[in-house]
Amino acid sequence: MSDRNEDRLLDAEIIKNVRRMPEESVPFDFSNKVMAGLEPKTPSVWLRLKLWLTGPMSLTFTPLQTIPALACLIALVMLGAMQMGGSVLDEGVRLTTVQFSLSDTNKAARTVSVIGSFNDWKTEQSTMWYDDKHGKWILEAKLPPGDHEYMFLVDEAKLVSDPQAAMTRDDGFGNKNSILFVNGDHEQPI
Amino acid sequence: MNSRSSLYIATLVVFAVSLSFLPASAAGKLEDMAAHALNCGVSSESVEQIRGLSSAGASEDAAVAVLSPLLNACVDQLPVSPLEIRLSEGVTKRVPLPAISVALEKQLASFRLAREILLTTTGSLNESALEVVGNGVGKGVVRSDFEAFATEFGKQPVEVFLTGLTMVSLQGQIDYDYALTQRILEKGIQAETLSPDWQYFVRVVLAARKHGIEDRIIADAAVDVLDKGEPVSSVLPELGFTDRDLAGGISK
Repeated sequence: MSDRNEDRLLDAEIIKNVRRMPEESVPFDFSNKVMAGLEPKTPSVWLRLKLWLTGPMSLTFTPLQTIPALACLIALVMLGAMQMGGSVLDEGVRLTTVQFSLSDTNKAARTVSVIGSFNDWKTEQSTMWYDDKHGKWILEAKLPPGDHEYMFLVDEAKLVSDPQAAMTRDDGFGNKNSILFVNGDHEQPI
Repeated sequence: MNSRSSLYIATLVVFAVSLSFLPASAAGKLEDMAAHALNCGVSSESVEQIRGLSSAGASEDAAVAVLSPLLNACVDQLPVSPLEIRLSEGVTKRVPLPAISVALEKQLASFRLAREILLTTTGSLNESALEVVGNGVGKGVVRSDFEAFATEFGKQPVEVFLTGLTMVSLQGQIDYDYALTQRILEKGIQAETLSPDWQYFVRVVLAARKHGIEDRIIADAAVDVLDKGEPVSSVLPELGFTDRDLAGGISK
């Protein structure tokens, strides 16, 4: 307790003496000299990064300059959708990628389409492409779960059942529809 | 006005009145029915397809006969979409309209029978079940199979019920004895291992039959697999098949 009192008295004495000292004006260019005497201090990388991230900034661009950026963005979104591959969620229904193929080593047919219950038996967007290497017509499609009936339509006139189909069904019109079983994530394995 | 004029006027009035009692012309009938069908919920695409057939040269009566089952299915609150798909199938395959009409009427009758089966056995209607049974009876599955299944398993959860119903339909279409299907279902339901992937067990039956395996032995293997809680893909290995792709590596 007594030490503290002594410290307070000493402080009061110092303050008193300082106030009694004569005032002198600051020498010319004092601030600059003091600053010049200090070593330059470089902020750390993290501090600079933090300042860059948290500091406000503005970008200016023309509408024309946004086109490449938008094109890249759209391409990325489409690529992402394609990467989802065989399991695409469409309105809550899981679609499965299946491949149809019809052997035709001599390419006797001019066009081949897959028509079936999954595309309302419409020929639009169901045209197969010819794989020269394997000598067959190919089409990939994304289908919902179910047992789907289909046939190949050759040269827009001739109906052909799939010789590889696990099962066929009489269509009631004099043809045999091929049956494809799709079960969730994959074509039903056996 | 002399008596002859009165006679003319009377004749004209009788003629006009009798005209109003004549049936509407076929074109009028088609348009009337098309309007009713659209109001009920038949898709505009199907109605336009039938109108297109009519304007392409088909007789109006034939077009009316094709539209009629669609409208009746809609009015009876039966599934319309399978009939619309059947219509498209017939048109794409260039089937004559009278044959399409017959096929649609047959399908409508199948759905009516399916509704009767489900209502008299389970007391309720599920649209998916209605389609499965309707398609099944349309493809020749006997109603007693569906009745037996629905009576025995009607209280099962919907997913299990639909899996079993699909098995009865698909296996019935290849003449797999219902008694064997019933054994498989009873085991799967009792062991609680009848997952939805079992609905296409018919593929296993077809593959095994190709190798001369009897239906009863296939059923025994399925029962064992269900008892062990394994997936349907384990049945063929249980029957002695290897794991290689029996479809020849071709995916469809």
